[in-house]
Amino acid sequence: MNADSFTEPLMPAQPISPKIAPPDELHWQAFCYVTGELEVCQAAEFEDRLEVDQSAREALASALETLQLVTAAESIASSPSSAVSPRREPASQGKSWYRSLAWMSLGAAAALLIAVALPRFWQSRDDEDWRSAGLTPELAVAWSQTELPQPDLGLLLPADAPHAQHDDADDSDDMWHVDSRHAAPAWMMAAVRGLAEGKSSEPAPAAPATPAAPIEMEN
Amino acid sequence: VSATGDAESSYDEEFLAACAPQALGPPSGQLGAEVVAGLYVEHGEELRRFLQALLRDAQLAADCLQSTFARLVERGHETREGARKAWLFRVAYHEAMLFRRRQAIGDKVLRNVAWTRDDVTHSAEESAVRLEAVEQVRHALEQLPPDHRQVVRMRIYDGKTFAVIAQELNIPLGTALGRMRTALIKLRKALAADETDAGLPDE
Repeated sequence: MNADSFTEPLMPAQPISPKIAPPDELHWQAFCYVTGELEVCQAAEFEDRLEVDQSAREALASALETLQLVTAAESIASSPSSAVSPRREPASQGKSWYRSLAWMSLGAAAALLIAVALPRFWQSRDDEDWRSAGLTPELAVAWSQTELPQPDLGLLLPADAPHAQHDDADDSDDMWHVDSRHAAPAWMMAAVRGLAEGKSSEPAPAAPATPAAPIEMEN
Repeated sequence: VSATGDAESSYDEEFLAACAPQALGPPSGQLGAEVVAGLYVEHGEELRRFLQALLRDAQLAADCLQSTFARLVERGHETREGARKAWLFRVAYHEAMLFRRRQAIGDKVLRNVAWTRDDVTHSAEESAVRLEAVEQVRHALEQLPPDHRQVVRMRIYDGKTFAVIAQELNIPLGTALGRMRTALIKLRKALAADETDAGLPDE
Protein backbone atom coordinates (compact mmCIF):
# COMPACT_ATOMS: atom_id res chain seq x y z
CA MET A 1 0.00 0.00 0.00
CA ASN A 2 1.24 3.45 -0.87
CA ALA A 3 1.87 5.30 2.35
CA ASP A 4 1.30 8.76 0.87
CA SER A 5 -2.17 7.87 -0.32
CA PHE A 6 -3.18 6.65 3.10
CA THR A 7 -4.97 9.61 4.57
CA GLU A 8 -7.74 7.91 6.45
CA PRO A 9 -8.32 9.75 9.70
CA LEU A 10 -7.42 7.91 12.83
CA MET A 11 -8.94 8.20 16.24
CA PRO A 12 -8.50 5.30 18.58
CA ALA A 13 -11.71 4.34 20.29
CA GLN A 14 -9.85 3.72 23.52
CA PRO A 15 -7.14 5.86 25.06
CA ILE A 16 -3.66 4.73 24.17
CA SER A 17 -2.57 4.56 27.77
CA PRO A 18 -4.77 4.02 30.79
CA LYS A 19 -2.63 6.53 32.72
CA ILE A 20 -3.96 9.43 30.62
CA ALA A 21 -6.40 11.58 32.56
CA PRO A 22 -9.75 12.78 31.11
CA PRO A 23 -8.60 16.40 30.63
CA ASP A 24 -5.73 15.11 28.55
CA GLU A 25 -8.18 12.98 26.64
CA LEU A 26 -10.15 16.12 25.81
CA HIS A 27 -7.00 17.90 24.63
CA TRP A 28 -6.05 14.87 22.58
CA GLN A 29 -9.45 14.87 20.96
CA ALA A 30 -9.13 18.58 20.21
CA PHE A 31 -5.70 17.97 18.70
CA CYS A 32 -7.06 15.21 16.49
CA TYR A 33 -9.94 17.47 15.43
CA VAL A 34 -7.63 20.30 14.40
CA THR A 35 -5.23 18.02 12.57
CA GLY A 36 -8.08 16.30 10.72
CA GLU A 37 -7.40 12.91 12.24
CA LEU A 38 -11.02 12.35 13.30
CA GLU A 39 -13.61 10.48 11.31
CA VAL A 40 -16.46 12.61 9.98
CA CYS A 41 -18.88 11.28 12.58
CA GLN A 42 -16.33 11.77 15.35
CA ALA A 43 -15.71 15.33 14.19
CA ALA A 44 -19.47 16.00 14.20
CA GLU A 45 -19.71 14.64 17.72
CA PHE A 46 -16.88 16.84 18.85
CA GLU A 47 -18.53 19.89 17.25
CA ASP A 48 -21.76 19.08 19.09
CA ARG A 49 -19.77 19.04 22.28
CA LEU A 50 -18.24 22.40 21.40
CA GLU A 51 -21.69 23.96 21.37
CA VAL A 52 -22.25 23.25 25.05
CA ASP A 53 -18.88 22.53 26.64
CA GLN A 54 -16.69 25.51 27.41
CA SER A 55 -13.74 23.31 28.40
CA ALA A 56 -13.86 21.67 24.96
CA ARG A 57 -13.81 25.12 23.30
CA GLU A 58 -10.82 26.16 25.37
CA ALA A 59 -9.09 22.85 24.63
CA LEU A 60 -9.58 23.47 20.92
CA ALA A 61 -8.08 26.94 21.14
CA SER A 62 -5.21 25.54 23.18
CA ALA A 63 -4.57 22.77 20.65
CA LEU A 64 -4.24 25.28 17.85
CA GLU A 65 -1.90 27.41 19.92
CA THR A 66 0.30 24.42 20.67
CA LEU A 67 0.41 23.48 17.00
CA GLN A 68 1.36 27.00 15.96
CA LEU A 69 4.06 27.29 18.60
CA VAL A 70 5.56 23.90 17.77
CA THR A 71 5.58 24.79 14.08
CA ALA A 72 7.34 28.09 14.82
CA ALA A 73 9.84 26.41 17.15
CA GLU A 74 10.59 23.63 14.66
CA SER A 75 11.03 26.11 11.83
CA ILE A 76 13.56 28.02 13.94
CA ALA A 77 15.36 24.82 14.85
CA SER A 78 15.40 23.49 11.31
CA SER A 79 16.73 26.62 9.65
CA PRO A 80 20.25 27.43 10.91
CA SER A 81 20.35 30.25 8.37
CA SER A 82 17.79 32.09 10.48
CA ALA A 83 20.38 32.40 13.21
CA VAL A 84 22.86 33.79 10.71
CA SER A 85 20.48 36.24 9.11
CA PRO A 86 20.65 38.85 11.90
CA ARG A 87 24.37 38.98 11.34
CA ARG A 88 23.83 39.34 7.63
CA GLU A 89 21.53 42.27 8.05
CA PRO A 90 24.13 44.83 9.19
CA ALA A 91 26.40 43.71 6.37
CA SER A 92 23.69 44.27 3.80
CA GLN A 93 22.87 47.59 5.44
CA GLY A 94 26.54 48.58 5.27
CA LYS A 95 26.66 47.56 1.65
CA SER A 96 23.65 49.67 0.80
CA TRP A 97 25.19 52.57 2.73
CA TYR A 98 28.40 52.33 0.70
CA ARG A 99 26.37 52.11 -2.46
CA SER A 100 24.41 55.26 -1.65
CA LEU A 101 27.64 57.05 -0.72
CA ALA A 102 29.16 56.05 -4.05
CA TRP A 103 26.14 57.37 -5.93
CA MET A 104 26.25 60.63 -3.98
CA SER A 105 29.97 61.06 -4.75
CA LEU A 106 29.36 60.35 -8.41
CA GLY A 107 26.56 62.93 -8.49
CA ALA A 108 28.71 65.57 -6.80
CA ALA A 109 31.57 64.95 -9.22
CA ALA A 110 29.24 65.24 -12.20
CA ALA A 111 27.81 68.51 -10.87
CA LEU A 112 31.32 69.93 -10.35
CA LEU A 113 32.36 68.90 -13.85
CA ILE A 114 29.33 70.59 -15.36
CA ALA A 115 29.91 73.74 -13.29
CA VAL A 116 33.51 74.00 -14.54
CA ALA A 117 33.06 72.90 -18.13
CA LEU A 118 29.88 74.73 -19.09
CA PRO A 119 31.21 78.34 -18.91
CA ARG A 120 34.30 77.31 -20.86
CA PHE A 121 32.13 75.67 -23.44
CA TRP A 122 30.04 78.80 -23.92
CA GLN A 123 33.22 80.94 -24.07
CA SER A 124 34.63 78.78 -26.83
CA ARG A 125 31.33 78.94 -28.69
CA ASP A 126 31.36 82.76 -28.51
CA ASP A 127 34.92 82.80 -29.86
CA GLU A 128 33.88 80.53 -32.68
CA ASP A 129 31.00 82.88 -33.55
CA TRP A 130 33.34 85.85 -33.67
CA ARG A 131 35.80 84.00 -35.87
CA SER A 132 33.13 82.72 -38.20
CA ALA A 133 32.03 86.36 -38.67
CA GLY A 134 35.59 87.36 -39.63
CA LEU A 135 36.13 89.19 -36.37
CA THR A 136 38.30 88.63 -33.40
CA PRO A 137 37.60 89.34 -29.78
CA GLU A 138 40.39 91.91 -29.81
CA LEU A 139 38.65 93.82 -32.56
CA ALA A 140 35.42 93.83 -30.61
CA VAL A 141 37.20 95.25 -27.61
CA ALA A 142 38.87 97.94 -29.68
CA TRP A 143 35.55 98.83 -31.27
CA SER A 144 33.87 99.22 -27.94
CA GLN A 145 36.65 101.50 -26.76
CA THR A 146 36.51 103.92 -29.71
CA GLU A 147 35.44 107.43 -28.80
CA LEU A 148 32.66 108.76 -30.96
CA PRO A 149 32.80 112.40 -32.07
CA GLN A 150 30.82 114.89 -30.05
CA PRO A 151 27.67 115.89 -31.93
CA ASP A 152 26.86 119.51 -32.49
CA LEU A 153 23.76 120.02 -30.45
CA GLY A 154 23.22 123.38 -31.98
CA LEU A 155 22.01 121.63 -35.07
CA LEU A 156 19.28 119.88 -33.19
CA LEU A 157 18.00 122.81 -31.25
CA PRO A 158 16.26 125.91 -32.51
CA ALA A 159 18.35 129.04 -32.48
CA ASP A 160 16.17 130.86 -30.00
CA ALA A 161 16.02 127.99 -27.55
CA PRO A 162 17.21 129.05 -24.19
CA HIS A 163 19.74 126.22 -24.06
CA ALA A 164 21.03 126.71 -27.57
CA GLN A 165 24.20 128.25 -26.32
CA HIS A 166 25.98 125.42 -24.61
CA ASP A 167 27.49 126.49 -21.42
CA ASP A 168 30.09 124.27 -19.83
CA ALA A 169 29.50 125.84 -16.51
CA ASP A 170 25.91 124.58 -16.49
CA ASP A 171 26.80 121.01 -17.36
CA SER A 172 25.93 119.66 -14.03
CA ASP A 173 22.33 120.82 -13.99
CA ASP A 174 21.62 121.09 -17.67
CA MET A 175 18.90 118.65 -18.60
CA TRP A 176 19.67 119.10 -22.28
CA HIS A 177 23.23 118.04 -21.85
CA VAL A 178 24.02 114.92 -23.80
CA ASP A 179 26.80 112.70 -22.65
CA SER A 180 29.30 111.97 -25.39
CA ARG A 181 29.02 108.25 -24.66
CA HIS A 182 25.36 108.39 -25.58
CA ALA A 183 25.74 110.79 -28.50
CA ALA A 184 24.39 109.78 -31.87
CA PRO A 185 26.99 108.77 -34.45
CA ALA A 186 28.12 111.22 -37.08
CA TRP A 187 26.37 109.44 -39.97
CA MET A 188 23.11 109.76 -38.16
CA MET A 189 23.65 113.46 -37.59
CA ALA A 190 24.43 113.90 -41.28
CA ALA A 191 21.29 112.03 -42.22
CA VAL A 192 19.19 114.14 -39.92
CA ARG A 193 20.74 117.27 -41.27
CA GLY A 194 20.06 116.19 -44.86
CA LEU A 195 16.51 115.38 -43.93
CA ALA A 196 16.07 118.81 -42.39
CA GLU A 197 17.39 120.50 -45.50
CA GLY A 198 15.18 118.42 -47.76
CA LYS A 199 12.17 119.34 -45.69
CA SER A 200 12.88 123.02 -46.02
CA SER A 201 13.16 122.73 -49.80
CA GLU A 202 9.83 121.06 -50.07
CA PRO A 203 6.97 123.24 -51.19
CA ALA A 204 5.00 124.69 -48.38
CA PRO A 205 1.65 123.13 -47.88
CA ALA A 206 -1.37 125.01 -49.07
CA ALA A 207 -2.44 127.73 -46.67
CA PRO A 208 -5.65 126.96 -44.97
CA ALA A 209 -8.66 128.99 -45.96
CA THR A 210 -8.76 132.23 -44.07
CA PRO A 211 -11.76 132.51 -41.95
CA ALA A 212 -14.34 135.09 -42.89
CA ALA A 213 -14.02 138.45 -41.28
CA PRO A 214 -16.15 138.70 -38.27
CA ILE A 215 -19.38 140.45 -38.90
CA GLU A 216 -19.73 143.38 -36.77
CA MET A 217 -23.14 143.65 -35.41
CA GLU A 218 -24.67 147.01 -35.33
CA ASN A 219 -26.12 148.01 -32.23
CA VAL B 1 -33.43 27.00 -2.85
CA SER B 2 -36.43 27.25 -0.58
CA ALA B 3 -35.27 24.26 1.40
CA THR B 4 -31.88 25.86 1.86
CA GLY B 5 -33.51 29.15 2.75
CA ASP B 6 -35.75 27.48 5.29
CA ALA B 7 -32.81 25.65 6.75
CA GLU B 8 -30.87 28.87 6.94
CA SER B 9 -33.70 30.82 8.50
CA SER B 10 -34.23 28.11 11.08
CA TYR B 11 -30.51 28.18 11.69
CA ASP B 12 -30.66 31.95 12.13
CA GLU B 13 -33.43 31.53 14.68
CA GLU B 14 -31.32 28.95 16.41
CA PHE B 15 -28.41 31.34 16.32
CA LEU B 16 -30.45 34.17 17.78
CA ALA B 17 -31.62 31.84 20.47
CA ALA B 18 -28.01 31.01 21.17
CA CYS B 19 -27.24 34.68 21.47
CA ALA B 20 -29.94 35.09 24.04
CA PRO B 21 -28.34 35.25 27.44
CA GLN B 22 -28.93 32.32 29.70
CA ALA B 23 -29.47 34.57 32.71
CA LEU B 24 -31.39 37.58 31.63
CA GLY B 25 -31.04 40.71 33.63
CA PRO B 26 -32.82 43.98 33.20
CA PRO B 27 -31.67 45.68 30.00
CA SER B 28 -29.73 48.71 31.02
CA GLY B 29 -28.31 49.85 27.68
CA GLN B 30 -25.31 48.62 25.75
CA LEU B 31 -21.99 47.73 27.26
CA GLY B 32 -19.49 50.52 27.59
CA ALA B 33 -16.60 50.74 25.16
CA GLU B 34 -14.13 50.08 27.96
CA VAL B 35 -15.90 46.86 28.92
CA VAL B 36 -15.97 45.63 25.31
CA ALA B 37 -12.31 46.55 24.82
CA GLY B 38 -11.38 44.81 28.03
CA LEU B 39 -13.18 41.64 26.98
CA TYR B 40 -11.43 41.76 23.62
CA VAL B 41 -8.02 42.09 25.25
CA GLU B 42 -8.80 39.29 27.67
CA HIS B 43 -10.43 36.76 25.36
CA GLY B 44 -9.92 37.99 21.79
CA GLU B 45 -6.82 35.95 21.03
CA GLU B 46 -8.22 32.71 22.46
CA LEU B 47 -11.47 33.26 20.58
CA ARG B 48 -9.55 33.88 17.36
CA ARG B 49 -7.70 30.58 17.75
CA PHE B 50 -10.94 28.77 18.54
CA LEU B 51 -12.53 30.20 15.41
CA GLN B 52 -9.51 29.41 13.27
CA ALA B 53 -9.61 25.83 14.45
CA LEU B 54 -13.26 25.66 13.39
CA LEU B 55 -12.93 27.50 10.09
CA ARG B 56 -9.35 26.63 9.04
CA ASP B 57 -8.94 30.13 7.68
CA ALA B 58 -7.38 33.10 9.44
CA GLN B 59 -9.32 35.71 7.47
CA LEU B 60 -12.66 34.01 8.01
CA ALA B 61 -11.81 33.67 11.68
CA ALA B 62 -11.07 37.39 11.89
CA ASP B 63 -14.41 38.23 10.23
CA CYS B 64 -16.22 35.87 12.53
CA LEU B 65 -14.50 37.35 15.57
CA GLN B 66 -15.66 40.78 14.50
CA SER B 67 -19.24 39.54 14.17
CA THR B 68 -19.00 38.01 17.61
CA PHE B 69 -17.98 41.26 19.20
CA ALA B 70 -20.67 43.10 17.25
CA ARG B 71 -23.15 40.76 18.97
CA LEU B 72 -21.49 41.58 22.26
CA VAL B 73 -22.06 45.28 21.68
CA GLU B 74 -25.70 44.62 20.77
CA ARG B 75 -26.66 42.19 23.50
CA GLY B 76 -23.75 41.87 25.87
CA HIS B 77 -25.43 44.06 28.47
CA GLU B 78 -28.01 41.31 28.98
CA THR B 79 -25.35 38.86 30.19
CA ARG B 80 -23.94 38.35 33.64
CA GLU B 81 -20.42 39.60 34.06
CA GLY B 82 -19.04 36.23 35.15
CA ALA B 83 -20.63 34.36 32.25
CA ARG B 84 -19.41 36.60 29.46
CA LYS B 85 -16.49 34.45 28.39
CA ALA B 86 -18.65 31.36 27.90
CA TRP B 87 -21.29 33.52 26.19
CA LEU B 88 -18.67 34.90 23.78
CA PHE B 89 -17.43 31.39 22.90
CA ARG B 90 -20.97 30.19 22.38
CA VAL B 91 -21.81 33.07 20.08
CA ALA B 92 -18.50 32.61 18.26
CA TYR B 93 -19.26 28.93 17.74
CA HIS B 94 -22.66 29.70 16.22
CA GLU B 95 -21.18 32.48 14.08
CA ALA B 96 -18.58 30.03 12.78
CA MET B 97 -21.21 27.41 11.98
CA LEU B 98 -23.19 30.08 10.15
CA PHE B 99 -20.10 31.09 8.16
CA ARG B 100 -19.47 27.47 7.27
CA ARG B 101 -23.02 26.95 6.07
CA ARG B 102 -23.05 30.15 4.05
CA GLN B 103 -19.66 29.52 2.49
CA ALA B 104 -20.37 25.82 1.99
CA ILE B 105 -17.23 24.77 3.79
CA GLY B 106 -17.36 21.02 3.69
CA ASP B 107 -15.44 18.29 5.40
CA LYS B 108 -12.74 18.36 2.73
CA VAL B 109 -11.92 21.95 3.58
CA LEU B 110 -11.84 21.05 7.23
CA ARG B 111 -9.04 18.67 6.43
CA ASN B 112 -6.91 21.71 5.59
CA VAL B 113 -4.01 22.52 7.79
CA ALA B 114 -5.09 25.21 10.20
CA TRP B 115 -1.92 26.02 12.04
CA THR B 116 1.01 26.46 9.69
CA ARG B 117 0.34 30.11 8.98
CA ASP B 118 -0.37 32.69 11.61
CA ASP B 119 -1.56 35.56 9.43
CA VAL B 120 -2.60 37.82 12.24
CA THR B 121 -0.47 40.90 12.75
CA HIS B 122 0.62 41.14 16.36
CA SER B 123 1.62 44.21 18.28
CA ALA B 124 5.18 44.55 19.49
CA GLU B 125 4.21 43.42 22.97
CA GLU B 126 2.24 40.44 21.66
CA SER B 127 5.14 39.52 19.38
CA ALA B 128 7.55 39.60 22.30
CA VAL B 129 5.23 37.39 24.36
CA ARG B 130 4.82 35.05 21.44
CA LEU B 131 8.55 34.87 20.84
CA GLU B 132 9.01 33.96 24.47
CA ALA B 133 6.39 31.21 24.16
CA VAL B 134 8.08 29.85 21.04
CA GLU B 135 11.37 29.75 22.88
CA GLN B 136 9.68 27.95 25.77
CA VAL B 137 8.25 25.35 23.42
CA ARG B 138 11.58 24.94 21.68
CA HIS B 139 13.20 24.28 25.02
CA ALA B 140 10.46 21.78 25.91
CA LEU B 141 10.94 20.03 22.56
CA GLU B 142 14.64 19.66 23.29
CA GLN B 143 13.77 17.95 26.55
CA LEU B 144 11.69 15.31 24.77
CA PRO B 145 13.16 11.91 23.97
CA PRO B 146 14.45 11.89 20.38
CA ASP B 147 11.90 9.34 19.18
CA HIS B 148 9.07 11.43 20.64
CA ARG B 149 10.38 14.58 19.12
CA GLN B 150 10.72 12.84 15.78
CA VAL B 151 7.03 11.94 15.77
CA VAL B 152 6.07 15.48 16.80
CA ARG B 153 8.13 16.95 14.03
CA MET B 154 6.85 14.54 11.39
CA ARG B 155 3.22 15.12 12.36
CA ILE B 156 3.15 18.85 12.99
CA TYR B 157 5.98 20.29 10.97
CA ASP B 158 6.07 17.86 8.05
CA GLY B 159 2.29 17.32 8.07
CA LYS B 160 2.41 13.54 7.76
CA THR B 161 -0.42 11.39 9.03
CA PHE B 162 0.16 8.98 11.90
CA ALA B 163 -0.24 6.07 9.52
CA VAL B 164 2.54 7.36 7.30
CA ILE B 165 4.72 8.11 10.30
CA ALA B 166 4.23 4.60 11.64
CA GLN B 167 5.10 3.15 8.28
CA GLU B 168 8.18 5.28 7.76
CA LEU B 169 9.51 4.67 11.24
CA ASN B 170 8.51 1.03 11.10
CA ILE B 171 6.64 1.21 14.39
CA PRO B 172 3.08 0.22 15.34
CA LEU B 173 0.43 2.89 14.86
CA GLY B 174 -0.42 2.84 18.57
CA THR B 175 3.21 3.59 19.41
CA ALA B 176 3.24 6.62 17.13
CA LEU B 177 -0.01 7.87 18.66
CA GLY B 178 1.26 7.26 22.19
CA ARG B 179 4.48 9.17 21.57
CA MET B 180 2.52 12.07 20.21
CA ARG B 181 0.12 12.17 23.13
CA THR B 182 2.90 12.00 25.68
CA ALA B 183 4.81 14.74 23.91
CA LEU B 184 1.71 16.97 23.80
CA ILE B 185 1.09 16.51 27.53
CA LYS B 186 4.69 17.50 28.28
CA LEU B 187 4.52 20.50 25.99
CA ARG B 188 1.28 21.68 27.50
CA LYS B 189 2.67 21.31 31.00
CA ALA B 190 5.73 23.30 30.01
CA LEU B 191 3.53 26.08 28.66
CA ALA B 192 1.25 26.00 31.69
CA ALA B 193 4.28 26.21 34.00
CA ASP B 194 5.49 29.18 32.04
CA GLU B 195 2.12 30.91 32.40
CA THR B 196 2.10 30.18 36.15
CA ASP B 197 5.59 31.64 36.49
CA ALA B 198 4.52 34.71 34.55
CA GLY B 199 1.55 35.16 36.87
CA LEU B 200 3.66 35.12 40.01
CA PRO B 201 4.62 38.51 41.46
CA ASP B 202 8.27 39.44 41.34
CA GLU B 203 10.09 39.20 44.62
